[in-house]
Amino acid sequence: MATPGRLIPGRRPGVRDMQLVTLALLLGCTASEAPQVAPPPVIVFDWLRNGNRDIYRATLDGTDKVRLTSNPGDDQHPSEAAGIVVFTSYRDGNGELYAVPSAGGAEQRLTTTAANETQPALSPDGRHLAYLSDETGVPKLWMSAADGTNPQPLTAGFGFAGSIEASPSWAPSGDRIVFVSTANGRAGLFILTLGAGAPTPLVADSNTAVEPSWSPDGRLVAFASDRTGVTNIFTVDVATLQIRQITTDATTAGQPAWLADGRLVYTSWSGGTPRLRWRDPAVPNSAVNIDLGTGDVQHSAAIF
Amino acid sequence: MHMSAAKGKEQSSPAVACRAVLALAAFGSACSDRSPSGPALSPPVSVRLLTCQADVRAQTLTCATPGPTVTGSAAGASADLILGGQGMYVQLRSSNVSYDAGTQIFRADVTVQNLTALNLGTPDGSTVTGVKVFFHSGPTVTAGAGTVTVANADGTGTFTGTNQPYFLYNEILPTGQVSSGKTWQWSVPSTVAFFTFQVLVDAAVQDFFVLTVSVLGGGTVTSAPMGISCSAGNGGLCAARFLSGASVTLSPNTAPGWAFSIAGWGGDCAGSGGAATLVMTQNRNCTVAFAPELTVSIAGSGTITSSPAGISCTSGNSGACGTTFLFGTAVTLMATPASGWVFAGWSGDCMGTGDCMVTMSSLRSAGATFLIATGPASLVIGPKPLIFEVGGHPNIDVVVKDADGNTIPNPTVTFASRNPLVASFSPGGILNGLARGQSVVVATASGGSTPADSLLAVVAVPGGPVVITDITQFSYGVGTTFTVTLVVDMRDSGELLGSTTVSLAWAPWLLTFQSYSIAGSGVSPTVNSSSAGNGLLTVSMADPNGFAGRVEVVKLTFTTTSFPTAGALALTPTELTGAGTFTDLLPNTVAASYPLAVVTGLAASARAAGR
Repeated sequence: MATPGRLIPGRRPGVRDMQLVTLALLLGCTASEAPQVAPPPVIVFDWLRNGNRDIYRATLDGTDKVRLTSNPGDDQHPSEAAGIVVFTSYRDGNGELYAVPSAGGAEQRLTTTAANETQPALSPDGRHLAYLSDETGVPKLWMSAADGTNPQPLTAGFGFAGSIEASPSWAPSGDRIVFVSTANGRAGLFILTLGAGAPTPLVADSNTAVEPSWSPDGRLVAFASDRTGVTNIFTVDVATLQIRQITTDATTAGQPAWLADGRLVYTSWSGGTPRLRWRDPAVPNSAVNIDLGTGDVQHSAAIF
Repeated sequence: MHMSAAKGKEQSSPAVACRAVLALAAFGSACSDRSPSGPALSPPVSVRLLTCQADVRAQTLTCATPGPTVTGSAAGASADLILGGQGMYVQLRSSNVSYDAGTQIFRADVTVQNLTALNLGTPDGSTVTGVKVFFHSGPTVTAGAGTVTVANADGTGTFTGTNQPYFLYNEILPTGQVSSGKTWQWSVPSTVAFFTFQVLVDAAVQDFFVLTVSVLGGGTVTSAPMGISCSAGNGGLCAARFLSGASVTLSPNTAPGWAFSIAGWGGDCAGSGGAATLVMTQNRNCTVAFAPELTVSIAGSGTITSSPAGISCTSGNSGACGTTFLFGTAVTLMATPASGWVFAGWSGDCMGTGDCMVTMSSLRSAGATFLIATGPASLVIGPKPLIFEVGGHPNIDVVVKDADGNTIPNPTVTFASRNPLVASFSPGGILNGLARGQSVVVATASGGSTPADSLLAVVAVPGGPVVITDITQFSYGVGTTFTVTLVVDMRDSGELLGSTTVSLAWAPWLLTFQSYSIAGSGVSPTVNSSSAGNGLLTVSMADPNGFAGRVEVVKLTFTTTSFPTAGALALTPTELTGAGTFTDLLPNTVAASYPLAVVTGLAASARAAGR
């Protein structure tokens, strides 16, 4: 389990970081002398409360909940980078992408098409947006600028015309995207290296593998799979392709998302309704429920 | 592509503010704008979302497959596929659509039709894994307040994401078949204006089929793509699984001595050309029968022909002396000797001397031996000698035997009268006496270079005695010893034989006189053989009491020469009187001259038969 207060090298400072730095300066400390204490990680997620699904933000301990959207239509699948949360909203009758500041604020519509744009994933630098569009009748991986301009398909010619794609996740280096494709008949994981040709299989065997999430150190991809019966969280080493089971829940566990410190947040259906948990992959039986209150919580993403 | 909305059954619910009747789009009729054009041959690996949206206030729910139709390929087919494609690969239809405002339940009876060319819901054609229609996304509220959930899912699973609800049609759906109906229910608060969802079909498909090959005969059959390498007796790899929709080419490869023709294809390959190409849309079976060669050889002179045709081999093994026949063909070989030759028998896969039937289940060979024909060994004609009245016409009894003494059935025998003024033959073999006199008749049994023959001493009377011998054959082998009985036949004259002198003359190069002996009638003649070296001999006797009937005077033994030649033995009576009366019978006496030939090649038994 990660040590509370540990600073993760390379992580961009968040709001709380800035507050801590300000406090340290007020106390007459230099930056180098300030306490190396990291704030609790912050996550975004969609939360079905009172008959409406919207985007929320909260700390990992379930506190500091902030509702980022409040539209009657369903808002879901948030992704965060550079202080911006991009999500899918059905408020317009079909799936469209919207953005809202992670600190809260005005929403901005990013796409306006007759097709469904869903499951957005902001690049680590916050400049690009990978997402799905079913403009051709099948959800395929597309990319645009973060503001939704210059959309273009990323996987033309890959798989077959009808193979479905889903769940893009960026490598921390920003040059690769892992995503789901049914190019082999079943849902599997493939890696697209931008500008380097066709995607290559990462986990594409006879089992189902979905909902990939690339680790902050770039070594692992966490994913959900039913390869051992009950759907649980696994990781695959990108270099060796070695697969390791992380969760051994008796009920479905999926939708993994990495925190900057190497912990995993995921959705658990233990108890029948989806709830968020986190755990340290290095520590067995370390699952901790994130108590957010009543309602269905899904599709978490860390705020880096 | 939009489905048209189908009105559902209205159920009033006064407690609910929104009294609108909710209608769930009928999947099926709504898709009539895309008529299925028949099952796709390629595996249905294409995936098309079925996106459905409910407009609560407009009381419609439409399901669309936006964008152009996509087509799949065989890429990456596996045992379980996620597929969609309303109206192309699957057709979902709903009926009995209703909304109960009290329970806030949408419901519709939904069926799934398989429009692919493959069995859905089974990995192997028999195991039932069923067809799952799962929610790829949603149901998601797009307008209004509240939450829509699938109320009666058969379960949740991981398909394209975790915990996706699904409906299970636990059956195998063959091509074109519509599933049994299943009631789908959504919990839909009346405050919801629109909701949407996307469903896909997850089903095991029988994405491979088994190709089984059976090989008869010498050769192998290989496949492209690889998988089949089957040899005679179904050795090797004779069954393989191929992806459904795959095109598999089977090629026959013959072993030495074997051939292949397109007639050798059977089963699903029947009618194919040199190679058979199959599209694996189902389990398939092919049989391949290679054609073994039948070779024949000939010793001697003759021909071998076959039925069915194919072999026509002549002397010197020229012509068609080898050919192939379809595996299992029953071939009859027939040996026909050339003129002057006889068929001595088969060798190899045939035996005996009759027609030979071989079954072409392997390489076959047969040899036919022809020998120079020696003809029938003997020819027996009765009665002999034949004496009949002028104008008489007795039938002739002929028996021909082979060298082993067996009677040859239905022999071909020809007759010739040496003196056609005395006797002649009708076409039917009836001898007619034309005038008084004697004619030697030669009967010949055909079938060899040296025909068996027989002599008939024919005397056309009435009246006088007949001086004849019991010679019955025309030809004798070289160096053959035979005995001739000198006979005076008094039966037609009615006299008793008194005194007799008969001269026998022959070609001295033809016969050598050896000896004489008393014949059966008890006559003791005087034989003067002093000139026998010159081919002349005299036999005389005198008995005042006379001999009646057929009188055997003496037996004379001759030996034929050592080389083939021809000549005659002539009888000349010089004195012939009646006993007691001393009536000169010579004017009424008929004598004979026998044409004889000495030839080579007659069997010993034939020679013996001449005695």
